[in-house]
Amino acid sequence: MKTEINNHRLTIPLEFRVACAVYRLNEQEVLQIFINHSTVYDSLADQYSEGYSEASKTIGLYVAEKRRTANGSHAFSHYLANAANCFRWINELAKKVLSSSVAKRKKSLLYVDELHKNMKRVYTSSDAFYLDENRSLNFTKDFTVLCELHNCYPVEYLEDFMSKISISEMQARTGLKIPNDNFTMAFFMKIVLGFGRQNTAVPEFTDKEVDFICEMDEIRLRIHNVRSLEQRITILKEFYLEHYQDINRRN
Amino acid sequence: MSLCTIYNIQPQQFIQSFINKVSFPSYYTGTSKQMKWATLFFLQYVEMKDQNSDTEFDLEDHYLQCFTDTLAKNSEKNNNGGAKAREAGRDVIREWQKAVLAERAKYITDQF
Repeated sequence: MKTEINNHRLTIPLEFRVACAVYRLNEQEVLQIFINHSTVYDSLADQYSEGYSEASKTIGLYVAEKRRTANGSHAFSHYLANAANCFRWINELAKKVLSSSVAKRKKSLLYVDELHKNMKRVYTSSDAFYLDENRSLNFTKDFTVLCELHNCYPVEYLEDFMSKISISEMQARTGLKIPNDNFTMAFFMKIVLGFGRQNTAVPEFTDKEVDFICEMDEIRLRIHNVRSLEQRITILKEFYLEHYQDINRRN
Repeated sequence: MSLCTIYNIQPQQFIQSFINKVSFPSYYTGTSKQMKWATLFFLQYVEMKDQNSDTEFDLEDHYLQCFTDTLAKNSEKNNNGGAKAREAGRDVIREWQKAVLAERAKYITDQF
């Protein structure tokens, strides 16, 4: 049994930390919103549901890139026929045209419950994950089933999600007329605007932060004369990193 | 327009002073902070502009790169308030304008 994952620490990439700091988001809350919106139902459905589609397809993409198919799932191998039926029913729900996504997602929970109850946990020994002494994440049934289904550790999904978040990468493309097809980043920007968050009150900004926001607007426009994507990313990364270090110095 | 009335400003004079201040060479050689707002407004306008509108993007890439290189080259040598770099930058912009006009006139000249 591979259970050493309990000790496995989550590595939070710098760009993700920077993005959370710039928009004053709580890293833990962002990760939890990602977990809460990753569902078996939405990874099968074609219909778009705000937040759910982005989160679930992020996992879908990761799994596809890893070329891990559900066929060899260790957790379900002992009751393969029943598990296959559950997934088939969820898939049928997902393909149904009538009735709302909300209702269908709710109904899919019946099958997810069933899967969750009967699976042999290999990759998800616990439903809680400690980021440090004070902060923890809670895995939903959907999320743990998605982990077991694809033989992935939760940490893998979380780290892949975080690796796709970068303000610099996003803004560097904006001025270049290159299509921005990073839907994981789009999901993050929804969270910035309040999606899924508990407290969406606009925080009070200090004078220094107001200055920074003005500079942020300006630098995006100023790099108009830099046409190489790599150079733009480098300039923006330096700019945001400096701000991030500045915040940390003050705290 | 109401603001122009309130402050007793002739709109055409205001627009003219705005136009005079839009300049890549001045902005990117960054001598005065006061000069930047008009160009920033222009850049923002360009950013929001419809992507399918008639802009020669290949020429834009080429000449902006050329412009940036020119500024870098000329500001290293002697830095008298960036005047030399600014002039060199203006030359590139003129070349760029010529190239764009030539490109747009192609459909006429191609027939000869």
